[in-house]
Amino acid sequence: MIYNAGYVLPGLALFAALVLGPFLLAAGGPYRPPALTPAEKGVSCIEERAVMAAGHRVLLFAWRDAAVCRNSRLYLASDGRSWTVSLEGTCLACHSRKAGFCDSCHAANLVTPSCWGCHKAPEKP
Amino acid sequence: MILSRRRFLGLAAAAVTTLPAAAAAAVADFGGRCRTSPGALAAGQWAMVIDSRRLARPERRAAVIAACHAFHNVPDLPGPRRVAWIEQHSFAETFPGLPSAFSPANLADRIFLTLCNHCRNPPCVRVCPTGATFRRQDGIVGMDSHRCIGCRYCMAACPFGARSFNFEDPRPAAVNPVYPLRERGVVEKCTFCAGRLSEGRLPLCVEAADGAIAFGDLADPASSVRSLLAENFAVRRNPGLGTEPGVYYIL
Ligand code: HEC
Ligand code: HEC
Ligand code: HEC
Repeated sequence: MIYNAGYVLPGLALFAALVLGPFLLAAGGPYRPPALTPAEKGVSCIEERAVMAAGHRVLLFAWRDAAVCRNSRLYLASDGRSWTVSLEGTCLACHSRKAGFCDSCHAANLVTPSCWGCHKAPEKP
Repeated sequence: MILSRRRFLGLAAAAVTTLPAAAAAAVADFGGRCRTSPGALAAGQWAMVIDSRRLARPERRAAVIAACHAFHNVPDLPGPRRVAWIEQHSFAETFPGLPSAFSPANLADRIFLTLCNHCRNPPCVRVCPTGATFRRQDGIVGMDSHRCIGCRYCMAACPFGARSFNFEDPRPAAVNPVYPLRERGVVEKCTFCAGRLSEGRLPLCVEAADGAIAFGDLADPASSVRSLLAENFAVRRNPGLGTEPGVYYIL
């Protein structure tokens, strides 16, 4: 039993329409992944491709805290290889065309990482 | 179905506690896979002994400063906006209260290299509201630019002026592409080359000083710094403040 159901229910309906409207209107074709420049070096990434695509944010933030706060600068990957914990020295050494890789995927997903003000890698065209 | 208030609150509390734990368990533990590098240099308390007699010539001090600032991309800005990890100061500036009108001329005119003292009791760490500056187990006072919000409490707390604020973007100063820059609005300082230590290498100033700066473990009686301190009378900057600086000067 709801008090003032005559006002509350239409109000809720209006609220739901306003909140969901933009999503429903924009829901059109499928997400088209952007074209990515392949890595310059290496045959596989640090972890499985799917793990990297879904979790590289978590990985990078864990790397940042490990290196700067805990002085742990060696990463043991699940396949047994070990990597130096470094954004420029490791990630961008393989993904050296950052504009066509990191940046174009972030642009397509409206993600704006704040790293590049400080982490400056030599840009390759 | 009517939920009692008590049951509703119980369910809500259960959801709030278990959902984040489940979400965290679903994400791989990347941090747990990070190790200290096998060749890393370790210590109980890192410290530095600067033989100021052997750094009396200006070009020797300039070489030391250049080695540090070039690697760490420290910009060369004039005036009050300057940023420095290692600087030069006069006898009176470096050791307030120590000189007298009758101090020997070779001391009164000497210029000293000054840097973060990596105090055992660091006031900057006490005042930092975000944990961006912290004291490590090995005595290094670390600086995490990622967590710095630019409040500058640490600069007010540091009695040695060892910290610099970025009033502007130091972007044009990118010399070394493998060391990150800093941005407008963060504080920076010497880190005793924490990254190099973890690669098994000594700090850059120590290498550039060609023997005039020793670096080692105060907790190890056989270390180079301990034997230097046992053989020479060395002073620290403003020890009366009780911060226990870790940089010693042989006069
Ligand atoms: C040894 C070279 C190498 C290193 C180092 C490397 N990557 Fe990769 N990365 C690759 C390759 C090759 C792929 C292609 C997919 C695969 O693994 O088969 C890839 C794929 C990816 C993907 C998935 C792209 C997609 O197609 O969805 C992301 C995201 C990524 N890397 C980010 C990173 C980050 C972040 C780092 C640093 C933590 C890093 N990579 C380090 C070589 C590397
Ligand atoms: C296949 C697409 C893709 C590629 C390639 C990619 N990213 Fe991302 N990145 C994303 C998405 C989507 C997010 C946001 C979702 C998330 O955090 O997982 C993100 C988030 C991030 C974040 C966190 C941003 C924040 O402020 O929370 C960082 C840092 C990052 N990426 C770095 C990189 C780097 C470095 C590379 C290149 C080596 C890269 N990414 C390549 C898709 C990509
Ligand atoms: C205010 C400047 C600044 C910003 C912004 C910044 N970093 Fe850093 N970062 C640094 C500095 C300086 C270091 C070096 C610390 C050291 O080695 O002692 C560093 C180190 C790191 C490291 C460890 C070693 C290395 O050299 O790569 C990682 C990983 C890292 N940052 C990731 C990130 C990510 C991811 C972002 C963006 C979400 C980011 N950082 C944004 C300044 C910054």
